[in-house]
Amino acid sequence: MALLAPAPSGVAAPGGIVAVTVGFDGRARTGAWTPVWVDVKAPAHGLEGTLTVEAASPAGGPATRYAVPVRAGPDAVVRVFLPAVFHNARAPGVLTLDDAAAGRLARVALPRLRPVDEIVLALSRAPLDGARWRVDAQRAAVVYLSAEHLPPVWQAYEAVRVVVVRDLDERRVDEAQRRALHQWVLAGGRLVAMPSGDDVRALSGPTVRPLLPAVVRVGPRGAIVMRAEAGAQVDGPPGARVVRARRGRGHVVLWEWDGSGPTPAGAAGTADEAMLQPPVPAVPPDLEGTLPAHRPLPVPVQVGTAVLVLAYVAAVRRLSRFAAGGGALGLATAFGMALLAAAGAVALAGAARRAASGPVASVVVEHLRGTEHARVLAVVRTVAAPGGRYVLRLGAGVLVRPTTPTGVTVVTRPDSVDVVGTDSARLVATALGPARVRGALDRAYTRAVIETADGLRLERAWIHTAGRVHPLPTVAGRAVLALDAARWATRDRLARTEPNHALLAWAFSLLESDAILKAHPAWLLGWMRDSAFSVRWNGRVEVPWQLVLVPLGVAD
Amino acid sequence: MTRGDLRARLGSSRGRAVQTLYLLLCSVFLFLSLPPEVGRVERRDAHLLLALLAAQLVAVTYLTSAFASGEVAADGEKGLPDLVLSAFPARTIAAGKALSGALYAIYLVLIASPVVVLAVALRGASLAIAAWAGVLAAAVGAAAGAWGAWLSGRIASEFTRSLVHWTLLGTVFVGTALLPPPWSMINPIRALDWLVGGGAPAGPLGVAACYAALAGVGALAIGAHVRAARAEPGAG
Repeated sequence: MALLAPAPSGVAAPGGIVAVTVGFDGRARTGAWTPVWVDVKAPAHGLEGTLTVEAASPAGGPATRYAVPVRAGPDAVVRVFLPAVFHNARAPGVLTLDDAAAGRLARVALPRLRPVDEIVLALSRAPLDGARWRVDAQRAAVVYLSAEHLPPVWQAYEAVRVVVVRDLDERRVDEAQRRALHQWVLAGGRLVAMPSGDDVRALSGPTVRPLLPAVVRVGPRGAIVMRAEAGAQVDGPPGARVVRARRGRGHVVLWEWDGSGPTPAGAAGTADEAMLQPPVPAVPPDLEGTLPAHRPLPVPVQVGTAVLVLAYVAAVRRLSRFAAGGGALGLATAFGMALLAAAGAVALAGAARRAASGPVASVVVEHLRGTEHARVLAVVRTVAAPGGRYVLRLGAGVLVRPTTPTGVTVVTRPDSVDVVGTDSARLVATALGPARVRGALDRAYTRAVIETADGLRLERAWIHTAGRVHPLPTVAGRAVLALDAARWATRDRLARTEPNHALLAWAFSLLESDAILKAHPAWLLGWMRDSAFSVRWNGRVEVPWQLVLVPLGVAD
Repeated sequence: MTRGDLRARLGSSRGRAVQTLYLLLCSVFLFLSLPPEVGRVERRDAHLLLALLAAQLVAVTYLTSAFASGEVAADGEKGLPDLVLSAFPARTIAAGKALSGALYAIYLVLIASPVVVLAVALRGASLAIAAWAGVLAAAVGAAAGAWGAWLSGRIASEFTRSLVHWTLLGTVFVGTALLPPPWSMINPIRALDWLVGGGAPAGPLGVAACYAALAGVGALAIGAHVRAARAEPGAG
């Protein structure tokens, strides 16, 4: 059976661009991360340059640029992955290839996208029953993908409702694609796996096996044998069993039967509503509302300016006496000194503007239950003096985009991501990182054990359970804390707390409204400044406050 | 004569106290006009910069005319009635008084320039705004200085002189604003508003030229007054 690979939504390939594939078989959701695969042919002298997607703004505003560096030997053809966000399906934008030595090598218009809200991504050589996945041409579509087109970054699955794995050639998947699929599931993705007839190779390879809640093998007479892991939920009669488990924020479902054929009797009631829900938003839309209103001039700058101004006023008193007694020369000297001071004021203003420019951020680090990972969500507002160019550098593995089409350039490198702009912009960034805080609570809620890695300080922390909070002292390292029954209070009685009360209030309400978070009884919330999340603003290192959410285990 | 006036205004304790108050006033407006953050210079914040420039302009105009008219007396400054009795020619007295008013206005503008420049540069606005606003303030101050000096000789009664002085200031800052456009542009605050709002400097510079011409007319009036006073029976 031929692999139902996507027909590349390719375009004419002038210059060094050989082929372009945008989206999942040309389908994409506007406003969501979209994979762009580009085959680039290097010139005879080799290639060291940049591949850039200019994503057009729907309102005709400045294009947002997404760029990646490209390197290739003489005449080599390399495949480059470039995640981008498109806002205009009819004319998504243009793709350019620039070489450091030879200048612009190619500029092609990207093909029109077929917009959908949700994608069911199927790795299957045989068609699936679309009705079972509730897809229709306008809103959702099943897209059959060849394994080599799986995105190598988890954020690029943003428009994907569920990934269905039936056939998977492990030789076509590299480690980055494998890791991205795992990370996407942990961050909230949904995976359905099934045998392909009596072929279970796709379920035992390194791409899917670590996620599955059961070991699958083919038994005697070709029967599928599943051994579910402890804690997994098993439903359905033999031959139509379904095994479900949570992986971080995500769901994984294993079917015992081949989904390309008829649904076996007894499996009708095993439909997974979770698999039919829209994709989880990359960043909750109301998180942006927690951004601090201002990034004022730093207090030392304000105090320093006041001192300098007062010193100047005092100096003028003396200068005035000199000017009065010195005749024309005295007056000219006074004028010269005033102009010199004005030049100093320009320099002082420049320094103050540099100190006052920078990012304002709301950063949430949510530890994913049952994993060693944390999901990092950040909304960032860049505060730049008008006309001042800035480079905001974030760490590797972060994907960042403007919340609305803005004329910034996002350069993604293996070790960092740069956002280059001139005017203030609002950005969202997502990443997965290691969980660096652990905690447990005894069953009587009288004792908590908190542990932070590498001496990280957890400041202004609370334990939250059932709408009530208990304040904690600062924790650095391991701490065993006694909880006082009299100090539990409802969260709405919390006094206004810094550094970002709006974000804290948002997190409390999230714990009480988010279906996944609500299911866990007790959470630790606190502020930290983990340098792993530091950013560079024009070379200056800044470590924003991060609100960490940690599910608490049970302490004995 | 100009040297004597400036020595009195800059060197006397009252003159230095006035400068200190003037600079503190500008400094207060500087801090009030700081934008909430450097990236947000909105219309509301532009009004705060306008407030600083307007306060400076009003202060320069008032102080120049007040010293010249004798409303604020500086030890050692000779008023026009004294100079009428001197041996200086009327033209010299007129030029000297007009020049001392203009130089004092320029001095006030320049000593406040670091504060104004700081306010403008902090918000990333063009420094030309500070420069043109300074030219406008110096021109209006020079005109006020010349006419203030004329008032000091023309009206003997301190109360009446003060009343006329304030009426003139009111006419410049309020009365001109009531004129229909484009004549209302002659109002210095409107001209500043135009500048801060990003308008071309030609208009405000035209306004400054008008006030500079008014200073020249004031000098002529001073000369005429001196000649008339000397011609009166019993003078000299």
